[in-house]
Amino acid sequence: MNPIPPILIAIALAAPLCAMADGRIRTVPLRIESTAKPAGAPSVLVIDGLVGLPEDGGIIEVRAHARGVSGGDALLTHFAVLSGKTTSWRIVVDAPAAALAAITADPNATVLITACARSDRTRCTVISARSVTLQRNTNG
Amino acid sequence: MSSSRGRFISGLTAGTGALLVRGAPAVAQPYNCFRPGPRTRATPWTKPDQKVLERKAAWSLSAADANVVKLRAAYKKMQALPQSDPHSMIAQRNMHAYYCDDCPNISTNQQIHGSYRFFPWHRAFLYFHERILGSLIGDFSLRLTYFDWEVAAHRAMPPIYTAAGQSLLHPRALPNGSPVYPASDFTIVPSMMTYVVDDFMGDAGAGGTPEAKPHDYGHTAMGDDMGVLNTAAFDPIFFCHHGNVDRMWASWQHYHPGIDPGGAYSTLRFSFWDEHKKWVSIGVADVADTTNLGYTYASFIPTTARVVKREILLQLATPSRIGPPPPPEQLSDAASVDIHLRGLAVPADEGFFLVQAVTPDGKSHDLGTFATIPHVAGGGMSMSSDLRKVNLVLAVAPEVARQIATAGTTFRIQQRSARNARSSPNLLLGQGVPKVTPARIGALSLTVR
Repeated sequence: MNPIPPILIAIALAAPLCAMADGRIRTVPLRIESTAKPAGAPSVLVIDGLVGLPEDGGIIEVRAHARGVSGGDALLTHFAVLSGKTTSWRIVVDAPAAALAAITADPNATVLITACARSDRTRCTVISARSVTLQRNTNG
Repeated sequence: MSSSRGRFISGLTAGTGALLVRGAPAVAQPYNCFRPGPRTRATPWTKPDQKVLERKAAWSLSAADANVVKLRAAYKKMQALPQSDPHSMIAQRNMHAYYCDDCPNISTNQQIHGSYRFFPWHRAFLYFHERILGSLIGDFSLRLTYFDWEVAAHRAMPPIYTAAGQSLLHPRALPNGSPVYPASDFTIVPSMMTYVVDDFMGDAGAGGTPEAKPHDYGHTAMGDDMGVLNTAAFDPIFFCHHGNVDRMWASWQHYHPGIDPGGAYSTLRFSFWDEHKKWVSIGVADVADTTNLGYTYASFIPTTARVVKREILLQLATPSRIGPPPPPEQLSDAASVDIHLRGLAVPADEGFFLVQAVTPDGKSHDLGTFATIPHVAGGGMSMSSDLRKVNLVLAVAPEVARQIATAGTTFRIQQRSARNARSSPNLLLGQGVPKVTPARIGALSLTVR
């Protein structure tokens, strides 16, 4: 059997993320792992493989959409990346505990990831990720 | 020289270099992707006879400060050197650029961003840069400064770098006084609170929190050459900015002594030109302690979540059992407690380990896990380079600490083979029967915060 060309594998992997070409906001399912870490230990957002990041990186903003979140969404974290070639990050989230609790309560929570150009922070695009996991400390 | 002109000239010189490189590929390369050192094996670094001196905050220094005078004189000489000289500013820039992920010939395991290579490589880079600057003025008491942006009032360019007519000034579009970081929403507290080494340093394939924020934030905000990995180290503020990134690591190490990613991290080595123009290699063990590199920081970055109230040394009746307990009031005000197990003996074979304390009433408490995984990235909470002993720091809830700080409490280790433990993301749910052995601890203490 002939091996599957890498490009086809890449398309197959990316397809679920890029399928929303109908104008709907492209969000990524938020996987939530709740564990009881020591009190005060922060929650961590594990982003595996940002997709669509500009080559020179950008200012990344991750907002969570979930029922019960005041205002409809909550800023989980924001950070800058200098290169589009580093796409996996382990980021300690900045979101308040109340927002995290609300997000955790919604099994259908999603995240909206935007990348703004480093040279012009008003020029932003919605990007995606292979997976986003919130490792929430239930004791925090 | 304007920033764009600087890039143009450096592009020209590198282009000339391409003609001189034997066997250079015909395809165009980014101008600073030429191998910075020889292909011969680098000589292992040996610690020179050097004093341990403080690196000071850039905002605390004036132009009259003796170290600032030295820095300006040294950078002036460095900037005047030709590109062919490995001590030149262009060569320093290219050294950083070569190991960034934009160069086509760099393999994943050589890239210095987006993984746990970030902190040790940059610490070593700053060290050799500092030594080279010292050699250029014949004064090895010169020390780099750090950009103390953890102070809200200091989130603009430090004045000693922006004054006109001196070598620390690098052309940039950012007007003097412009904020480098967002004033309202910037914080490094989450980074400093992180107690899991992967979240702070990243792992073999992912960057950690401080690299993205504040490190990348700073590069981005300062912009121009600093905003691009290929050119960032052409700007003297690079070494000031990274001074504080390094200070973040030093602070985190101070709050979490003995912790590093372990595994393949322990074998990492990096090559640099030293102050004698010798191509040397330095290992992560060499750079783990800043005093081994001749410097300390004027202060550690404070974090309210990590204020240490006291350290309590627990006496051991045997290597696995607590003797006389500490007075209870020493733990009564604890908001969080770290338990330090120094010199904990573990089997040399690879595996995942769970440390448990068993109180005299027979109740067991899971204190935390670690791993010994030679030659495999990621994993352990703490490992020394000697796989037969680890210095382990584990965060425990205060009520657990109060229960286990009792005469007669014993410690034990559950070991699972790596093969079984990897089948589950959660060690406690891992398959197979764990091997349980009494812990053999060299010294035991509690850090009360």
